[in-house]
Amino acid sequence: MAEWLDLVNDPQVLASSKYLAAGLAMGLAAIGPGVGEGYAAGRAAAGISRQPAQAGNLLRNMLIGQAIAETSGILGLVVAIVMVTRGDIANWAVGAALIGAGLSVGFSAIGPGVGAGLVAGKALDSISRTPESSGKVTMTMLIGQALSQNAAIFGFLVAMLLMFGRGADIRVDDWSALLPALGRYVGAGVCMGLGALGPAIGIGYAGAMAVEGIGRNIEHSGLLQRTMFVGVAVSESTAIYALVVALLLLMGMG
Amino acid sequence: MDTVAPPLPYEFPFNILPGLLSPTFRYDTLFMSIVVTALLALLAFACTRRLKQVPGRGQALLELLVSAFRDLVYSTMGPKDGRRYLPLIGTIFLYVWVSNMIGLVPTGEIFHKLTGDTNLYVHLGSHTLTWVGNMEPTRDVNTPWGLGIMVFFIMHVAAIMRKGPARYFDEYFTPHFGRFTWPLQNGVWRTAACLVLAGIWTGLAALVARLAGATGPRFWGPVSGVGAVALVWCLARLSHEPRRVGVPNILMFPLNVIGKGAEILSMSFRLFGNIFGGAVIIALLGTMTNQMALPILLQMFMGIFVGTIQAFVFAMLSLTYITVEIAEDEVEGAIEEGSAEPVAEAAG
Repeated sequence: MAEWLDLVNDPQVLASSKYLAAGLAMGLAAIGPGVGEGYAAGRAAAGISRQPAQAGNLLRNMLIGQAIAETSGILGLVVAIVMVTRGDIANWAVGAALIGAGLSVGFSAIGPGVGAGLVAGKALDSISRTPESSGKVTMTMLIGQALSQNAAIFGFLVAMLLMFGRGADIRVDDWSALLPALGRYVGAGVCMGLGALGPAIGIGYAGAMAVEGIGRNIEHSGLLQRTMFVGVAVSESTAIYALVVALLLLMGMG
Repeated sequence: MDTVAPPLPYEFPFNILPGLLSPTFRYDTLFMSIVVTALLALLAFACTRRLKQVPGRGQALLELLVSAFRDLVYSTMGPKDGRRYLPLIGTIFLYVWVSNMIGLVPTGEIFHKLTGDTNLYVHLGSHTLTWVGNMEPTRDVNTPWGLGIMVFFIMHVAAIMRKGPARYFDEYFTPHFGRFTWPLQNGVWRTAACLVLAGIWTGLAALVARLAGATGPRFWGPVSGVGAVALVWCLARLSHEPRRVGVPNILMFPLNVIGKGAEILSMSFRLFGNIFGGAVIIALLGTMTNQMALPILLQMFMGIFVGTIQAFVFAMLSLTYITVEIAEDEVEGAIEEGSAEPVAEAAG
């Protein structure tokens, strides 16, 4: 079995892990924001065709919404850049942690992109339908999008901890410690990454329906916002569970 | 010169979670924060000299800012609370915004001209302090984290002061499937009677099970089942209002607690991730290309656009969280109203 240890500690194998991780991080992270921003742009075009006088307002809100939906993609890009420009990988534990980090930030960027795009699209619909509600709709759109981005931020946090944190104590010379630690780091990444996917899309849907409701019924915007908040807080639950489990895996407990 | 030593070791500030016990300290963050504060104080001082009815340019600028935020805060919180929290929200926005913008000041270029490296290294005895060029205070994880902790304390202390500890604590059990405030509604004596009765039933069940010779799971299973049923039965029968059985929503408690922490964590890290990410991207693409236009365009997008939006999102999320914390439960009130109606009709 010693040759396995030599294999995984080979510098070329170790270097491949960081490139693979960077590819995963950026490749996966590009999916969500693309879909979401495209949807927002489409709704902006539909809104302009319905209400050409609001073109400037719609364009501005579309850009703001797209910029926030972009956040998760930016986080994936940052992680990828930091990995590519990283120096030598010390041992296979660091390599496994890098792959986990790439999976974490990559998968967790898919949901928030789509969710934030949903909110932005519906907000543009509302503005084009009832331009006088534009101020409140923009505020609620920002809040809904920011809440949808929570999941991407959890993924980014776990990725940062995997890349730079101290992590659990593992003895890199021990063959029997290899697979558990490998599973632990990659598992933490997959856990947070996939765990952020669903809640973000759900929160995006909640925010989208809230902005649509505010466009239709602006007197009750306060009640709508508070209801959205309660719903979002409960929808966030599974992302928080995923974060807790990922942190438990990182800390070496269980 | 070697008697001056930093109080804590300077290191790459990412020991967030495992190293909570060993906080990191960055002098360049501190210095730039002081610069930001000084700039804001200077701006405020300079623009408020000799206030006129028809404002001059500086005064008009500040009035524009204050009125925009006042409309936002008053429409969210109402005029009474809004007046109290407007300075906080406005200051959070200004502080974060100027902190993000100060990264556009080309200190890196100055250092490059002076020392040939974009970072400035200051040697104090055996320690070397690094001053990173183009440093924004929000690029260090400590600044957004500190702001988040501040907002966290404001939120919860204001909620406790406004609603009292009992109601504040009760909210951690939302959404209610019943009401956990059964003890609050029915008083001490009924609660005690309830617990005593349920305890008596549980004791009887335990006695029977022990006499039957059950041990381990065969003992605790039936006994805890009888105890739970007895408790709920007593709560239902002894309740002051009919048909208001309190189901303690214990399961929601840890979820809500972690949720509150996640709010602040996400708020801080959103700001940090965006600004740090922008800096990393600009640094990398600046080294990769010799064109002058690309870094400048990126600075415009990442630095100005993203910086302004993230400052605004941070201020607005603080506002929203504070509003939700100190608000009287309208959603819960609506649910209360909905369920109290048929009971009142049935009673009279």
